[in-house]
Formats: sequence, C-alpha cells, structure tokens
Amino acid sequence: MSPRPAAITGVGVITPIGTGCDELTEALAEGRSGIEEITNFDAEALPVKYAAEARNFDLTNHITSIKTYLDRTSAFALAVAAMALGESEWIGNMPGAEIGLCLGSAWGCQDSIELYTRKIVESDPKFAPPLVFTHSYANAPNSLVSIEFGLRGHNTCFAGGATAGNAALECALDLIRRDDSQRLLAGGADALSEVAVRAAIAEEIVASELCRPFDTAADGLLPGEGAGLLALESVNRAESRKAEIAGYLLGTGSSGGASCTEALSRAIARALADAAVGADEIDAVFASASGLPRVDAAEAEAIAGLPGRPPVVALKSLIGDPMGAWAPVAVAAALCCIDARVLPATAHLREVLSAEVNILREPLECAPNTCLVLNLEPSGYAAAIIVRGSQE
Amino acid sequence: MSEVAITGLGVVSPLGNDVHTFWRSLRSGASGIAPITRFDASSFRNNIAGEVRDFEPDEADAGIGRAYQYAARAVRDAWRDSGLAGKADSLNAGIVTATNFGSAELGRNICETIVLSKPQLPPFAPQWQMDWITRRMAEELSLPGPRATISLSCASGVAAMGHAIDLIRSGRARAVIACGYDELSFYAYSGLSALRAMTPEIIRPFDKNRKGTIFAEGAGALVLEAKESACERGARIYATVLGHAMNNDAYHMTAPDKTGRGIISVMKSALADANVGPDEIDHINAHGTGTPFNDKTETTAIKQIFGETAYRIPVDSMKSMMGHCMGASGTLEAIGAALTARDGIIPPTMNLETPDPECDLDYVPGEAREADVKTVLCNSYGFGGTNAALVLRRWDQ
Repeated sequence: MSPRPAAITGVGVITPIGTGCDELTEALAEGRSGIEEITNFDAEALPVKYAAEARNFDLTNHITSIKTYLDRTSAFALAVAAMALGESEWIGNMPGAEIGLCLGSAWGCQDSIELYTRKIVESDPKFAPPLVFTHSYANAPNSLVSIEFGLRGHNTCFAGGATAGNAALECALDLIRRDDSQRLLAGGADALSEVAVRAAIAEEIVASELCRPFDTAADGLLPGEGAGLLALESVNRAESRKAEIAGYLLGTGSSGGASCTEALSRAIARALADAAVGADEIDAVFASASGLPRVDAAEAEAIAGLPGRPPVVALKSLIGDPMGAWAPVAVAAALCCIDARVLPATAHLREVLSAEVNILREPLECAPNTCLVLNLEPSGYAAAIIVRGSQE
Repeated sequence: MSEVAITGLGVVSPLGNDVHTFWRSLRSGASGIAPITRFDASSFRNNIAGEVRDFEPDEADAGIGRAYQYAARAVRDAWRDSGLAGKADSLNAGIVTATNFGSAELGRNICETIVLSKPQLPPFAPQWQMDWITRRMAEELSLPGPRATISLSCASGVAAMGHAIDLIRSGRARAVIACGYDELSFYAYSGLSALRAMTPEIIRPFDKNRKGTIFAEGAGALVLEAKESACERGARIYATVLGHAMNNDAYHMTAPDKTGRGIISVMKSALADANVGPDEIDHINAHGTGTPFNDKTETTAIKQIFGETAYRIPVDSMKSMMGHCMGASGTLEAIGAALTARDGIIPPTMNLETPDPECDLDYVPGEAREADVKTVLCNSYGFGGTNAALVLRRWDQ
C-alpha cells in the first residue's frame, strides 16, 4: 500500500493533567503532574495508593443529552468524540461517506462488569439488571458514540492490550488509504478501574510511589486513565474542503519479537517505511517509557538506534499509564507540543539509565514537526506511529 | 481488491470439536443444543444451550480459562491445517482474536473477589484482559506480525476476519489467523436472559412461532493468507474471501433498527468491497438468530437488495443447529459457508415448521440440499447496533 498520510482534522483528548488540546498544552508546558491519591474507588486495602485520574473530567461540558447510566470508559469516549467531531466540522456540514469509528481500550467497561457481577452475586440473578449488562460490553462505548452522533460508517472495537489504541489508528489509516471518501474517528479510551489496578498489582508491575521512566531507580508503572480520538480523513479531502488540519498521521508499524528491543526496533523500521520518512527526519520521540526497568532499558536501546539523538519525552511520568488509550493520547500530546514548540521534561528523573538516549531533564524549546510515538508491551510486542504537525 | 485465501480451519463447537465432525453434523441437521450442565440455569428464561461437549483441553492449556482453551485449540488446529508452521517469519504472520466476553467465568471470579472484599485477586487475574490469549498464541506460534483483539459483540467473529483481511490487503502481513470464541457463562447467560433475547423453548429461525435465540459456545479459527502466497506454495485453499464490511446502526444499544438500514448498508458495502453484483450471490449464510425482529428485518433487508432474485437464493441459519455461539458464531458460520461452497451442499435451517408470511424466502428447511454454490454472502450482527458481512467464493482450481 502506498505510504499516504491521513489528515487529522479534529482532536479530542482527556488526560489527568488536562482535557482538550488547549488545557493539555498548558499543562505540558507547566510540567504539571496528574499523579495523586486514588479516588475512583476505595483503595484503602490496596498496597497502591497513587494513580493518575482525570479528576476534572465532566461529561456535561461536552454533551447535553442526559444519560441514565454510563460507564466511565463510555463517558470518556463520548467526550473525546464530541471534541474531535466539533473540530472536524464533519457533522451537518458536508456530504460524503458515513462517519466511522475505530476505538481501542485495554479494559473496556470494567466498572460495569464489576457492578453487574455485584448484582448477580448479591441478589437473585433472575432479576439481573439488563441495562448494566448492556453497558458492560466492550463495544458499548462504540454503540453509545455511534448513537449520540449518528455514526453509521465502519465501526470496530479493539479490546485488550496497551496497543489497542495503536490498532485503532492503524485500522483507520489503512481504510482511508484504500478509500479516499472515508472519514473516521480513531483512538482509544480507558478508565481507571479497581480490576485494572489490582491486576497490575498481581503482576507486580506497579511503582511503589512515583513513575520514574528511564531512571535507574524506577520500580514500576503508575496506573492512569484517559482517552484520545482523532478525526481522520484523506489529505485531498481535507484540503479540498479547506478544513483546518491539526497534523498528519503518516504511518504505523508493529512487530512481535524475541526481545522487547528487537520488537520495537522492527516496529520503528516498519512505521518509518510505512510513512516514507527517514529515521533522520524524526524531531522528537514520545517514548512508551512506563517505568518498568527491563522494558524501559529495552526501549532506550531501540531508540539509541535512531540517528541524531532526537529528544525523548517520557509523558507517563506526568500522566501515568493510560493503558489502551496511550497511543492516541500520546499523538494528541505530540500535536500539542508541535504547536507550542516546547517538549516537556521527564518528571522525577534522577539518574538516567542510558546515556545514549537524549531523555529530557528540562523542558526543551524547539520546533519539532515529525514525531515518533512508541508503545512497547512488556511481553515483547511493539507498535510505532509517525505523526507530523501542519507547520511547513 | 486482492483476494484472500482460507488455508486453514479449526473448530471447537457444540456440533463437534474438529472440522470434519462439525461439517458432517451441519449437513445432517444435527442439534448441538441440550440442557445446560455448566451452571445452574434454573432461574432463567431457558435452561438449554449449545455446550461444547467431549472437549479435553490440550495439555499446554491446563489451568487457563475455558474460553481460552477453546480458542487455543481452534487456533492450533487451523495453523497446523494451513501447513504454515515454520513460515511465520517470511509471511510476517499475525493473529486477530475476537470475543464478546473473553474468559467470562474467570472474569466473574475476579469481580467476585472485589465484590466480596477479598484482599487479593486470584493468581490468574492478569489473564482477564482479552488480549491475553492473542498474546499467548502469538508467542506459542512465534508469530512476528500484527496482533489485535476485537470485541464487537456477536459480530466479533466476522469482525476478526475482516480485520485480518484488511491487514493482508494493506501489506502488513501475508497471513493472519482469525479466531472468534466465547464460552457459556453464568455472567453472560444471566444478562442475555434478562434482555429476553432468549427463547423459552427451542430455537426456530424464520418460523412464525420463533421466540428468540439459544446461546452456545465454541471457537472457530481460520488462517487467512494472501492468495498469491497460498498459490505459490501450493497450499490447499478452502475458499477465498472477496470482501467484507462492518458498520453500526447508530440506533439502539440492544434493539435492531427495524428499518434494516444498517444491515442493508453493510451487505451492499460488502458486495461493493468484493466487487460482486447481487446477481452473483448463490447462497446467503444468514445471521438468523431466531429472534422475532432479527429474522424479519434480515429477510426484508435481503429482499431490498436482491429484489425478486431473493426468492431464488437459498438462505440458511446454522444457529438452528448449534445455537448462537456469540463471538464464535461469525467464524464458525464462515467455516460452514466455505465448506458449503466447496462441497456444493447447503446445510438446512432446522425447526422451521410454520412458515411466516414476513419471512418468505427459501430457508432450506429441514434437510440439506445439493446446489452449485460459487459465491456466498455471510451475515453477522450484534448488540450495540454492530453489523458485519462477508463475501466468500468457492475455490476452483
């Protein structure tokens, strides 16, 4: 398939440090941290007290319809869809193919699964609540967003894994490359749930206190939440309707491998080839860097293979790990940084584990335009995305 | 658009746990539906289902969730059947799994731990994320290519195939395993009963007295491969996939859009994607759940697309025999459709006794039929307004 980019004509983003690109840009410039004590659920009995929650998120700022019940992941999806669609000006404004939706989530609607389980455990399952059951499906956010905004185009839901959001973006890019008339919202949403946190505890991957990516003292990740959704269409189409273009999704790649480094190096090479971009054109790297020492070291090794020591941003030190929403959130953050001409510093960084990699200790004023967004799963599966700003 | 070949099949189903038994059962009109043994279903709308029987998990799968055991077996069988072992690297082979509920009983145990305020999650907690089985099988089979996990309610199986096909068409992989799976669980069964999608008696798709569906379980896996690659290596090709489509009704969380707008659109899009005209379709493998709305709406939609020709196209519902295998239904039915085209035998729709004036197509009632089937349209829909369709073609050497 020819390496054609897709135009990004709308961005919706929710992070623990800001909702929407304006807020996120400001927060990144300030180096604001979203890591605080857990409030989404009672964490009293858990060994983990801190996480990154999108505390100021309020769905009523984004949609006006009244919902009788909504899972937090679905609420995130509705809000980012409203933001991205608002910017894209797709609705009510233009003919064309039906709008599609590719959504990814590592954990789906876990709070609803838990609530429904409570109902069938604590009372007669004969009276199980169908509403909660319906909202517990992994594709409930797809359904709710489609109904809310009348999205009748291609529709799919990637469920599970940190790379769920990558799969969603890649799926949309490939559809647009094949069919110029396609318009898709693509990205991911994940809410912080007790199940997700406790599963991470069971896997022994949670940090004792702080998320310290690329630091020799790192001891784990900090669970987070968030959502990101991009309005994607062909460049031809966006230009011909004189849409405001926020940036371009140039290419994607993924790979499994015998080691994390091998998988990530291959994923980067594939994304560069898919984007028809040279490794020397990368202005900044948005690293997966979750604070897992073994995985961060492998990532550093793969990044060290890029020429010119591009600056490396470790966003999860500020926003925690947004799980399946990571890739779209990071793409949105990259666009914010391109726009603001500044890259944020890595928080809590003391001793860098690799001198070969240019991990930012201080905010860097620069003019990045082409960014590489990485995602590395501890199991040895990696995905990479190349995104470019709209500046000439 | 380039064709994709089906070069490997794997089945775990209420109609048998290998492709041969499954296909023989489908042709003979056998029923895989019986009283539920897995859990106490006495308080629900019905207590029968299509359970997988006589299934011994592979040794490697001892202790993992039952749904994962089904998926793992189907994936291994399909991979072995394709003859691609040792060729994964050169084809950058990948895997897509899809499910409604994942390892549902395991998930319920995990949630119960929280509900009952137990201090620690069971040790298998990390298995609960749906991509666990995708990762496990990719590692076991040393698949270097793309991995994806999809959950698109009861259209999951076809959605997995659709995504796998797109990965091949985009050049991101030359072979991808697509597996749809689900297990019968107390969690899902109680919810589906509460939603009243379930019939209180037997499943009778397209019958005037149909009252709902019967749920079932299983796994179906297909190895999808770039046709050129399959031909070059002289692989056995079961059928080819010409095209597919997915969309959403944007109408209601659980009720189908009675106008059939979404399913008409998805069938048209699949035909367009396959570059096939309605006059080329010889057979339709229906979603055919047996719910009053689905069967009527699906029939109306077929008539809208095919016009008078619709009456000459045999339509069958494999769910009448195996039940609705949820996330596995789309892949199991696609496997059935591929074998239908290969052998020229259309399996019957069982339990269709009283014709419904609103469902007046040829549903192949009661008995399998020999027919020259070159091109098949497969339909799969699910909660959340999700729709998917697939066009398969017989492989003529």
